[in-house]
Amino acid sequence: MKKLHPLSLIFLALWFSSAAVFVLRLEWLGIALLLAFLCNLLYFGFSGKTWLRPVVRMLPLFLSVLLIQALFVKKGSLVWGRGWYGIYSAGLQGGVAFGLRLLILFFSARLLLKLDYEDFDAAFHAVQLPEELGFMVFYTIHVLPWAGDRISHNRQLLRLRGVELRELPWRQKLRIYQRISLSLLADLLSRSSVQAIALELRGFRSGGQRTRLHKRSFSWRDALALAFIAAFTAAFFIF
Amino acid sequence: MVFEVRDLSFAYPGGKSLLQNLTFSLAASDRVLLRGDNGSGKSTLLLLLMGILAPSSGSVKLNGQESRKLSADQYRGVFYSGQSARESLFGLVPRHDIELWRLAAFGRNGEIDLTTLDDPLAAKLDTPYTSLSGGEMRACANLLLPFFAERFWLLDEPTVGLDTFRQQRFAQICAERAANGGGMLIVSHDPALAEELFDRFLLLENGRLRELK
Repeated sequence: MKKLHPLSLIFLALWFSSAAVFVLRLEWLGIALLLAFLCNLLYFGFSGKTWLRPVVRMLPLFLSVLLIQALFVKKGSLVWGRGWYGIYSAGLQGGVAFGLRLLILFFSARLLLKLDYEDFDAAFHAVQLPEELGFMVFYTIHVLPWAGDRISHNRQLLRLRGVELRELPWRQKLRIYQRISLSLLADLLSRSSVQAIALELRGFRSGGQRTRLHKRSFSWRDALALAFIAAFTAAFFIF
Repeated sequence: MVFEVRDLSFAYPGGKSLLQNLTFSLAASDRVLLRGDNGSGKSTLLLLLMGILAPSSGSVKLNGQESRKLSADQYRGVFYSGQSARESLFGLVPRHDIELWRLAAFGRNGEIDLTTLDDPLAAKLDTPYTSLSGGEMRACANLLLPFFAERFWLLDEPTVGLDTFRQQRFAQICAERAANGGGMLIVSHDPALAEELFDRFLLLENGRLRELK
């Protein structure tokens, strides 16, 4: 798995995330989740610490969506009812589907996050797309984790100075969060302009010959992965 | 306030051991200069003291409590400023950082008298960090040191990028601190930082800490 060409890995991630968005049937969503999970397992190895903790963190969100769907969606067949109130199949399915979609997107994002700029460059070069595009995609994909790190850093800054956010009145908390988000935005803008300048200074251009140390090419593993995607897509449309 | 370090070892993930079995303590009134080559682990040691990093083995305690498990109010005895001035500053402009320090030191109703700030930066409190030079950002990180005389100072390269005026002012603040018996641990390569300011000299070399006489 680790020897897959980055383009194949991007295709896999895109395929999984498309499945998360477009597939309606629960069993197919379940299969897509299983495959996305297996890909993560093959790629990162079994490390519960890295994926289990975020999944557990998402649990309250899953459960609240499931609860809201079960409480308010009154379509499909009656699963359980007492008096005036009933839980319907469409509500339950909607809640479960939301959880599955979110998990698939999470595992797809993890695959993409593992790729560094060199990988995006190699992937985009393989399909004759300019380096700038690879850079932009790479940059965009890493924005969210970067923003998360910045927020953690700011919270740590508060703690190291002796400020406990939980103890502050809500008005003060809002003020601090406003400051954090403003600095986050400013950092993001300045960081992107610095990165763009760095890119230009290193002579990245959309055309012309470039020097490469190592050219990664497609192998049988990539063909297998792509065939796998095609087979499952075909199976989805047929069945 | 006292730091107790026992058999502290540390290695970054996938890296070789950076610090090996360090044992030392810092008393509230110690004035320590920590030196060592680039990459010897000085900044890492400060991060470990502040509980930002976890030791690979051994323990770091602040007032008897493991640094990794400290609550926010237990940090109120320390003024820490990291190697990167920008990373040590909060918000978008210096005024935001000052407001946070005010909140940390004096609570919601406290005040820091900004007219007493003896630095040209006082006129740039609303200038975004992105428009300040590296030296000005470092000056901003040092700006409130005189207001936190009761805290133990942990300062990582506090004079890097400062102009002569600010370097002299920093030395003067440290001299006042030395005269008043305040404690500090300063990481610095700056030869201009007078040795009379300190009563202990530590050298970090090949992962080991050596006390110089």
